Amino acid sequence: MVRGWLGFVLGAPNVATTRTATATAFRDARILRGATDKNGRYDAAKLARLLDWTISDIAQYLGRDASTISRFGASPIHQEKLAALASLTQEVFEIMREDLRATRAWFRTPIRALDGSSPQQLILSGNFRRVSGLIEESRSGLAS
Amino acid sequence: MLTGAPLDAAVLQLPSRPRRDAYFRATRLVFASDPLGRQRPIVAQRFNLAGGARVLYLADDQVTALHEAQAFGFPASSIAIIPVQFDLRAVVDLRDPAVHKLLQTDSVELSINFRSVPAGAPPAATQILGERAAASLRIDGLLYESPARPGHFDLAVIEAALRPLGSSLVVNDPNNKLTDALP
Repeated sequence: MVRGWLGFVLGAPNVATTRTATATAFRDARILRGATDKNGRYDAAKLARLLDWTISDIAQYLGRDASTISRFGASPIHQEKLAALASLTQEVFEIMREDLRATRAWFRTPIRALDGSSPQQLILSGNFRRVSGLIEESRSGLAS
Repeated sequence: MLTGAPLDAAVLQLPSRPRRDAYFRATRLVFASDPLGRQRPIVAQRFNLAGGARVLYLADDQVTALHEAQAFGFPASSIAIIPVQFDLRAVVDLRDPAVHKLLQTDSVELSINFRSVPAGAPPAATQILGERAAASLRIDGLLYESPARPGHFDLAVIEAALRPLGSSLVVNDPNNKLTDALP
């Protein structure tokens, strides 16, 4: 068993586990498609489900009332912000080797480079740019 | 910290020393084939602005480099730690009180997280300093306390000054097919 930073278990040398992990990865790779409706519009509720956020969370991100999001979550007026969040999610998903659980955990975890705030906290408090900036930085080198 | 013309004047007076050693660069494994980051985007970092000076960030040892990478919170991501040999001619030690005095700054200001600066506010003092140091072409390195691992330090290499000062960076790891040099 390989133990990664912060004690995360990265994988076990077991064929069945590997096969399951591969299947999960293939399933997860299609997940962002699951965040869109039949017209290809991002749907707030589906994106919230993907990230394991509540409707209230995604409503806060969109600056709307939760009841509005429940009824009109794929409205054109939300598309720009939902696309930005979906794109960020996809990038984190790739960094996390297409592991949805790790992706969700990253959004919830206090990050030292963000002064101990979690990406989710920052996004919900209107600081999306700080989180996307951190992901951009990771393409340039990892120095805090 | 000073700004504008007084900062430019102070930068020219900063005490610097040659420094030759091997430090470490942390990068996501997917980018390891570009060990000195020639193709990297210039995003805002501690001593540079987005689209500004090319500054390469190194850590004093492998563990510090890992701590730096860990600060991004990517536990399940593969990271490469690349040894970089450097031969620099003018490194300013930002831990030096004499440097603080010349720049009219302190360790608190120098350790502020540039990511915390609100949108629309002026850049962090360290970013302004890095950009002015790069413009001077007289400083090729800034040594500073590692934000991720107290007691250790990082080196910000100012690439624009390498050629004018006759400085260099080398990665020479043929076993892993990693070979590159700057300038």
